Amino acid sequence: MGERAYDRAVRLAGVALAAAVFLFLIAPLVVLVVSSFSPTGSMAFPPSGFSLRWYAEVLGSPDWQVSFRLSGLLVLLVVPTTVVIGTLAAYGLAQGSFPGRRLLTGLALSPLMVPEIIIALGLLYYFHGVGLINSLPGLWLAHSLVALPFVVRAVMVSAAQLDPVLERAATSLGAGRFRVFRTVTLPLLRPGILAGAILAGVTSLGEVAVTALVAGANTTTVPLRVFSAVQYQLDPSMAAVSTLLMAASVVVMVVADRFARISEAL
Amino acid sequence: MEPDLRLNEPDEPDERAAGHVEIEGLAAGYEGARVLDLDRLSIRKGEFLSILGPSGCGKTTLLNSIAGFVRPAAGRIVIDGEDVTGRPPYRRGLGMVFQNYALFPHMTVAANVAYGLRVRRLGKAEQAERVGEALRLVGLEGYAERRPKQLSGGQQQRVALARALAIRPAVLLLDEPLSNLDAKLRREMRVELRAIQRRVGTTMVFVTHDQEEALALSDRIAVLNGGRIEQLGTPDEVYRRPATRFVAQFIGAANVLEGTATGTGGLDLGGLVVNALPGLPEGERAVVAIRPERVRLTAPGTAAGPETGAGVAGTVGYRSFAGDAWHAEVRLADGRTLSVRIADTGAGASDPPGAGTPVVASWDPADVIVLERGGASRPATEAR
Amino acid sequence: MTSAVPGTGAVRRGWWYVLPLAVFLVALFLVPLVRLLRLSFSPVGPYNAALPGWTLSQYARVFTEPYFYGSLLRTAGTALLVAVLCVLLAYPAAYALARRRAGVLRTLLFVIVISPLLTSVVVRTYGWVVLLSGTGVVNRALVATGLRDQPAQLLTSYPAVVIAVTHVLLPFAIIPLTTALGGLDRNLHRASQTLGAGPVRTFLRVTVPLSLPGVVTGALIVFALAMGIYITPLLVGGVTQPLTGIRVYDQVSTVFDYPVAAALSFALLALTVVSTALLAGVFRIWERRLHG
Repeated sequence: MGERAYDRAVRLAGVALAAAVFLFLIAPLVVLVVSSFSPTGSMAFPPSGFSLRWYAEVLGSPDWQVSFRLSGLLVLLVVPTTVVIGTLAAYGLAQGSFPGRRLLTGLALSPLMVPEIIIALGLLYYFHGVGLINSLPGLWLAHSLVALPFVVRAVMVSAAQLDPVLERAATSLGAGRFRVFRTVTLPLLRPGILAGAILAGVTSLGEVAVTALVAGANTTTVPLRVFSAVQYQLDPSMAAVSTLLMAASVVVMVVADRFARISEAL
Repeated sequence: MEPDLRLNEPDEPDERAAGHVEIEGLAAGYEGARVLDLDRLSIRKGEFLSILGPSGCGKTTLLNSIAGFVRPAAGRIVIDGEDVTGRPPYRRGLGMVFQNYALFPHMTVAANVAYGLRVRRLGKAEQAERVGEALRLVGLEGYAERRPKQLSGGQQQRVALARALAIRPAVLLLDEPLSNLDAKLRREMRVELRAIQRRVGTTMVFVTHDQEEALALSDRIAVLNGGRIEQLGTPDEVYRRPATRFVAQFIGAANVLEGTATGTGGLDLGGLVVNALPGLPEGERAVVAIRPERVRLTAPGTAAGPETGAGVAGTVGYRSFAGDAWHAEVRLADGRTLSVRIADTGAGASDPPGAGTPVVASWDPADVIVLERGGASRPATEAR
Repeated sequence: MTSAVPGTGAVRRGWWYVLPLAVFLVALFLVPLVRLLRLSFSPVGPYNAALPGWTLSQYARVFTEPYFYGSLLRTAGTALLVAVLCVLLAYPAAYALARRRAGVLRTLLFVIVISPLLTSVVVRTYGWVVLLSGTGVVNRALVATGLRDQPAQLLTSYPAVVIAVTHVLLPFAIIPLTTALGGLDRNLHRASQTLGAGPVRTFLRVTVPLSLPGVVTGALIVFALAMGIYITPLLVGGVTQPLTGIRVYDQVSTVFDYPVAAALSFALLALTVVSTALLAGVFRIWERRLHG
């Protein structure tokens, strides 16, 4: 019986450790969501009641409205851009065979490993020269650059599993190259493309590291506005915005899923 | 609890010693979806028992229940008088050889074999001795410092066997260990596995779906179907005297015929009468089986041998040559088919006639296996 | 890889597909980097304006002023610490995730693991700001339990930076480790158990050694990312934290000295590449010794 107790203790210890880590991961997010419903101006936790006061304040503020519109527009621009460029590239890199393939693969993924401050500074200096600072196209390009490696990596996972024999089979049945890509290759890459689209959308929605340097007074995205505000004030309105931002990420995921199902049905 | 490897005293399995492993009322799986439902299975000390059955019959669940990886919903497993049903796998003192060998890739062959000995805190010298002994047993003395991935499939298989035997388990469980080997190696390993078992005398429980393997290796075979034991017996018992229709068809793919006895040595399958059966009282329902290799084909009208009944007339559906024998299919008048195996005699003397030729299939009434008599009348089932 | 045989594959000239990406990356990644590199060799004039000409004085400043080179050392040390913490924390989580069979709980746990990836770094960090603030949960708990008489200054402290950065990067350690653990043959655990090894020994002798590739991947990714992270330490630690990312940001946003910021950036990049390669090398030797 002592042996049985020992086994159970070992298992319990493992579960407790894992639970602690999961709690560590989720705690800051939970605290934000809960605080956003505080009826008072204090960030004390747990809040003394429940109110939507801070949501009303945020959603009623013209500044925040502009930021929300800008962030949404950027997602709509960045996702198609990166998915098209990234899918084509991932397919070529995973299935193609041409000189420099390895080098290009490394280049495609390198923005992930280069310290974010360098990308930010590089774009800041570069955009200064070409007048893209504090502009929508500038943010579009910057976000696309940051999101692109995620898309390439996600689609490459699917593309690497793609069996070229399937494409040959389609060709042998008389399909032209474009039809093969559209009817065989793309559907098989779908899981990777979907994952890439989600990551791209969520990345653009949350990007601050590069945005903080290349954006300006007219192009303050939602997370950037949070970033500036948090440095000076601590009130539940930031928590409300953060909660909305999280909710937006969830919406991006759900929409991507829905979109994929629709394309499956067609 | 841990019998010796008994390297020096080769021992025939002791048929009389019973109650080594006792399994009672074992049930596994969910209510309504029982994967396993065993009344009783008693494994004798030192025997080589095969658990034979098609995939999904519960044989792996049975093995995993004995090993402790599956917690049975009901029942008891007793090993050498001790109830181990609730014990975790690492406190059962059993050895196991996995289908994919499950050798630790990050350890040498020697470290793999020594793994269970280190757990048991044996001294360095004894560990080395037992590792050497186990590797000698499987003929891999020179491979101690290799890594598993540097070995062939057959060699990995031997290491897995050595690793399991080194702890001198009460019972060695083998989960389809030969199924990943090619045909030639599989036959060789079969002979060797049997020889090793004879030498060490360890009780072995061998799970397989390969009837030929089970017949060649076992002291006894438990034929499992739908989570139940259909028959438990020696290889010649299950082959010659299958207890059920399933056993007859699964082992040796017998032709099974069901009908009413005519009283004159015939069986009325429902319009079609098949002759040459052992005497059954007229009007009795019966299910009989005839092994394909017991069926002979003759041209219609040819005088049959003295011991041969008329059998049944039909036409050859197809024939195919399998090297040592021909396989043919005879289509009977009502559309059912009989499968026939004719040993090749060389020079084409015994070749069955080509497709479409009318033939008479006949057999020695003594070769007919009566599976069921006087049972409830059911519609005739398919003959294969 | 395949379909290299002319006329047999749909992709014969795969480079055609990669062309848009190559153009995009050259225009927005390589060119800016090269221009930044050029800038790092520029002298500065009055008001820190970059002047034409070439000089090594920016790099000289980076490697002689403790304000700069001290931050590089501190950054590398922090990244190493965060990588170690992430691996240690990732193990129980990844193990729980890999062992759990598909179901609602597993999905929930997985969502928790990737939730930091799906929320803005600002949001995640802001959560820590709230937790660690003077009136935050952590301080109230400290006071309530009598561990401290009055709220501690948790925000703008180095431990706060380490905690927040670890939190932000933890998913990057959990995900490869979960993949590695999930890919382990279950029969290896079973074999270990039938040989008599209990859960602890099986974990230490079989699971841990075989999951090392996942540990290494996770540790290297976390290390590289921790070297360049600057938003999170800036928010929880403040602008005075001696980390290179913050120093670069400070030079750009308040001092407006672009050339020295550029030089400091490239010093950071070089340090990241060299130390990551070094770590990878150490890991490879370690793994080879273990796996032969």
